[in-house]
Amino acid sequence: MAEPKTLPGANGKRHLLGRLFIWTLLLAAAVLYLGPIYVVLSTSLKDLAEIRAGALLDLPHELNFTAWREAWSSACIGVRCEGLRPYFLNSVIMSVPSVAISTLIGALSGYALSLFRFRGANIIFALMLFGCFIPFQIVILPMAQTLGFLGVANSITGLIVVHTIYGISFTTLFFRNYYVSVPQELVRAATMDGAGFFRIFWHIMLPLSVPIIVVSVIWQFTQVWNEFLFGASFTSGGSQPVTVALNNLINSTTSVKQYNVDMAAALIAAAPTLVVYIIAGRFFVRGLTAGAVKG
Amino acid sequence: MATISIEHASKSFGSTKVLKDISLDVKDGEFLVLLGASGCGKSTLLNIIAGLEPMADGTIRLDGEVVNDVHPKNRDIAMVFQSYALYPNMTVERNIAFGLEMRKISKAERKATVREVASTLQIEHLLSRKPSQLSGGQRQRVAMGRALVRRPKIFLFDEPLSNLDAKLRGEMRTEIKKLHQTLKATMVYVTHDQIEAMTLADRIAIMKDGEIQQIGTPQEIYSKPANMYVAGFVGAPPMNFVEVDLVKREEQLGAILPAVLKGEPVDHFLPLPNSKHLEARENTKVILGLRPEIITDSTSTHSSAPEIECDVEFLEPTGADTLCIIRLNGHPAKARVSPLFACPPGESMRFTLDTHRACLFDPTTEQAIT
Amino acid sequence: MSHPQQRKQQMSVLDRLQRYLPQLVVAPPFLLLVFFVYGFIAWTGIISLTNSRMLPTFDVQGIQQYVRLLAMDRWNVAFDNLLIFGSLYILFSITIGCVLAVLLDQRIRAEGALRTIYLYPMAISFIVTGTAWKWILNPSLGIESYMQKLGWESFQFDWIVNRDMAIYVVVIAAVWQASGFVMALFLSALRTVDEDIIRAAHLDGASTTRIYFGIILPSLRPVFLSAFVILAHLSIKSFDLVVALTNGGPGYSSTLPANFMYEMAFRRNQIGLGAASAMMMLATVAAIIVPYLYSELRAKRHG
Ligand SMILES: Nc1ncnc2c1ncn2[C@@H]1O[C@H](COP(=O)(O)OP(=O)(O)OP(=O)(O)O)[C@@H](O)[C@H]1O
Ligand SMILES: [Mg+2]
Repeated sequence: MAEPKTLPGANGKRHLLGRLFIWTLLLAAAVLYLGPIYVVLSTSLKDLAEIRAGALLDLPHELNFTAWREAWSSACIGVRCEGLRPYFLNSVIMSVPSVAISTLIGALSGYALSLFRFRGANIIFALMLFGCFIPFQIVILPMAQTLGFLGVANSITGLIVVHTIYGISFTTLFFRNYYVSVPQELVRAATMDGAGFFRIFWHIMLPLSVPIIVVSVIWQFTQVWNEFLFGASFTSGGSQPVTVALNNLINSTTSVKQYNVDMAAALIAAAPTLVVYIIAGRFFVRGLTAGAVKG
Repeated sequence: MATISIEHASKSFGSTKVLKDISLDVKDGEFLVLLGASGCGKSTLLNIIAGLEPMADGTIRLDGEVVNDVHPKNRDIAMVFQSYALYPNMTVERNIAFGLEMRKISKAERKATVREVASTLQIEHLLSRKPSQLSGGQRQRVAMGRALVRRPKIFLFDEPLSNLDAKLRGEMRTEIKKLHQTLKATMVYVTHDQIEAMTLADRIAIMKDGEIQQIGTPQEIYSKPANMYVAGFVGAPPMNFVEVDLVKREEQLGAILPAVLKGEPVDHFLPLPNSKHLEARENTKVILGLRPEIITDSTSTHSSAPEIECDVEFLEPTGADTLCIIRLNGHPAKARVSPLFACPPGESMRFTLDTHRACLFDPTTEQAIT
Repeated sequence: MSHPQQRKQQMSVLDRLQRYLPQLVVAPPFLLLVFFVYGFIAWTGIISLTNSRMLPTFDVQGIQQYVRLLAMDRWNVAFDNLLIFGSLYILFSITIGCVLAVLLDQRIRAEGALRTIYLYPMAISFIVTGTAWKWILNPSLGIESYMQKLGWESFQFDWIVNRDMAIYVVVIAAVWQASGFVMALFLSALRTVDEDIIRAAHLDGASTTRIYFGIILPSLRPVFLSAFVILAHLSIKSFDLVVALTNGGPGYSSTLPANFMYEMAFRRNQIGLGAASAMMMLATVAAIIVPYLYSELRAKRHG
């Protein structure tokens, strides 16, 4: 936007003070935002003696990765002492299919709802959209029973089912709002060319949809990976996702508190979504704002 | 052979009736233009012919065969869209070939056909580009190529030139006309540009609010408009409408034309030729429709036509002619005169009125009086 | 082209199917959501009217679970906490997010990097956030003892173990996580403000501050509204953060309704009560979302 600096006659000194003020605030905020991750990271690299000495904000004396190794492969969670690794794998196995399936379903239903405005399409969309807003507490009791009935209670498969279903609301929203801005004439032209519903989708719409696919995948992945309520409610023991396992590790009262292991475990659990955020932050923000400005 | 015949077609979106009982026949090899203001239902009618919109009521026949339930791809129709609707992810070549690809034509054959079409349209050098790398005119050609490549028996055009600048529009108009003459295919062309309609059409169908007002050759539409809407819609500047009294003087039926001369109101008597059918309307009001070229300077036409003299309010030079704005029955009217004879504003001038070419309309029904 | 006979045949089977494909494709996900959203809401509603304890029963008794619920101190604490937490969380997140967005909008060279820093907490799970803040704020080895060791003997920050203050710790962590998101919302809206308006205001002699407070921020009202709705919705659902940070404690002083629900449904065999509390949560969300959606959709229709 137009900066006063560029206007002739603006007061140079006042301007400089203003910039100083802005930068101070911005940097202070950056320190506050980075603080926690710094503390967690540095704690994870210290040994217990150093931690007990109480120098929370100090850098570690030396880089010590034993806590990371322990958190990954030997820390005790409940009765199992295999570290976070099995739970991390659970989360991977859980998120990959549920992200893929819900994105595919969302793309197809968004496509059908936006470019083929059949009677009632808008009402159907509004009804599907409501799934984005419900507090999931409202569904966990029936869901627990239903998963039991389907024979997938306390299993990763069960979590895949749950995440896929409740992801559809969001993915449909993303794709529908994306396809609404695609001109309908494109579909008509392809129809005249002899392409049917699926061929238009495959040959024309999907190649156009790369950005929204990325947004949808990132959003779904972040949601599923970070989810806790479903994991805690529907699984126990060996089939828990990593968030639940992390919480069990942190809140275990059985052994001596190993803060460095806890922090390393927290970072391991956070790593996948952080990595995605750092390499594809632009799409992550788009997903957030698109998911935010619903409808 | 490719004829289109539509009977009693109607269509609504929600509660708004977009097409009301449309009947229309297109002959084999004919170039029919659908002309009408924005929102009158032209695209909807075209989509119905293509099969892209279902009809609420009515039948549509292609070559005499009812095709209401035939899928668009099986109607052997190609369509060019207003926005061109090129597939953004495909090269020009694949855009053109896509229809053939969907019809399972072999790759080699596709390639050959695309080359041929591209050379007709002079877009061979663009074949490997994406639509986003093309200019408006080039995109338009690709859209045409996509339609041509399938060699359909019927072409539909939905305002294909409306996104081009004036010069390009003129060029493409000529090319479409040439194309029609070589292909001899049946074409239906939607536009709201009357010049396009007049230059391209074998016949024009004028639409208003989902109804066809008149179908005829460009000449018929222009000189014998069926009603005031058509008369006002076609022609630029539009036809002058003047409400006049029909009276008989010396056994001759004519119109009293109120004008202004030297600042004073003056009534001219305008004898109307072939006025037998008007006898019943003696002493009633009718609307007299005068195209600007009907009111012209006295020097340039034969002298048998009636003349009027009146004040010129101001002038609009257009180059070839000059438009004189005069006042007829209290409303401004335009007269088309040669720039050589146009009087300066404020002076009075003699005009000849070619009453043979004047139109008469009923003031209540607005239909032409025949 | 194609043989007329063959053409008719193709129509009757395949093309008729083609015509209804969009509906056929939408139907399964739609029906799934009808069952798993609306069906489950009704299902939970029914459970909330029963005496279900260990296992859900369908023996409808009436509203006594709701009567019990409203009389429970634990629930009332949770609901009061929600009001405190929700209002502070929304207020601070919007204020901080808005300020950061405006500051970042001043042609800051490092904007990209700063934006990344402010927003990364949103990519982290609440459990991780809770873990981190729990460690930082623990009184024995955390920030309190660090400050005291630095020589600030009187420094006290023991909210996390303080009955009256624990809920505010949840607010701090939650604001840390969400304010960057609000910043992103505002920043993208600021970028769409018409520059000509700002130029015109500069020519009229308005200062940058005046322009923001007088012209730009008021024009962002819809963003404030959607930020409010999203944060309100998030705060009602808040569950994991409390679990990881305070586990509802000390005692149950920092529980939120979501934690109450989980506790009743999965720990205490009070499924009927849990269902009733879930219904109360849904009602709270609906009270905010429904008017919002209604006005949004209505605006769309008129716009
Ligand atoms: N899918 C639709 N839903 C509702 N109304 C529609 C739809 N498509 C068209 N209409 C309405 O039908 C009327 C006719 O539309 P149509 O597109 O046929 O007009 P047109 O003559 O082609 O106009 P233009 O010259 O602007 O292209 C318009 O009033 C339009 O608003
Ligand atoms: Mg149109």
